[in-house]
Amino acid sequence: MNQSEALIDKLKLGDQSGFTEAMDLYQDMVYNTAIGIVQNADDADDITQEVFVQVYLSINTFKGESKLSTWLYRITISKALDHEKKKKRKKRFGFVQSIFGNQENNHHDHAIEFDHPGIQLEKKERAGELFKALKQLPDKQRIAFTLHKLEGQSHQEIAEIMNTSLYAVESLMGRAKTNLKKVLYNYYQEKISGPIK
Amino acid sequence: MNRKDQIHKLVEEAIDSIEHIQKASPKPFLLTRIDARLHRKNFSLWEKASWLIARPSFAIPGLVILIMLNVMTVLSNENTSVHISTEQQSGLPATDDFAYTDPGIYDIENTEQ
Repeated sequence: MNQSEALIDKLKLGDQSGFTEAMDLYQDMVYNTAIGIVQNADDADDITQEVFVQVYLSINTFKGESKLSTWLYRITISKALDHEKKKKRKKRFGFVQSIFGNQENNHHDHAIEFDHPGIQLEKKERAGELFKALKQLPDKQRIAFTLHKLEGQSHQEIAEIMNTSLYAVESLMGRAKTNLKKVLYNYYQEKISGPIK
Repeated sequence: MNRKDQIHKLVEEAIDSIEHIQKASPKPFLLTRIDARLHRKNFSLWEKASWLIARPSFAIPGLVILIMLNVMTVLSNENTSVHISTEQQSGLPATDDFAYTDPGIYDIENTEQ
């Protein structure tokens, strides 16, 4: 029995030390993935908690067909995307309420550039612009790009996490880069030539 | 450097800005916060039940079953009332009123003798 199987067994038995061990091993991985998707430190922290609660409650449904880390990545991605959808729904609801005159719910949620804590100081401005552009990509491209660039996962590992083929991941990465370049090009073009009058 | 080259340079800089990025870590005491969340989850069983009942996939069939039960009860009551009223009209007592056929404890003792 390898270390990972022993950990899964401990988790299935409800062993507290197993849960602590899993947290020590995977909390950074879960948080880092979540922050890359939702681009907000508090939301990422919230998602990390939700992921481990989910692990605690549904470890018995884990069949061991994939690695524990792969399963955790899948839960994290699903929770992060759900979180984004909820946030968008709230924003839309707030907008509708503001139309009908309820000013209390009129959140001033302007696009704030995300400041990833792991970026070097001299690269922060460009990285903020990249993260902003990343938000405009379709979910699958964004997930593949985030897993590869922020988590350092290989294309093969991403294929396992996203439950797709290696070819599909390579295609997603290619399209993600092309689209990012397009979005960034338009952004800088507008920035350099100034606001359109 | 012309404007187009300048933009291309900025794009490349942005793409490369996340190379060698360091991993971010959650705030301290994550385990304590997860523990608190788990306790909250355990105590909100009634919340879970009300959430389940309020779901359309649960509420609509539940409502249909409730309406069907009501209709069935009303229909069966109507049949009984028609039956009673015809007996009352004929002036004869209902035979079931005097039919006491349940074996009591004494009957059982008698059969044993």
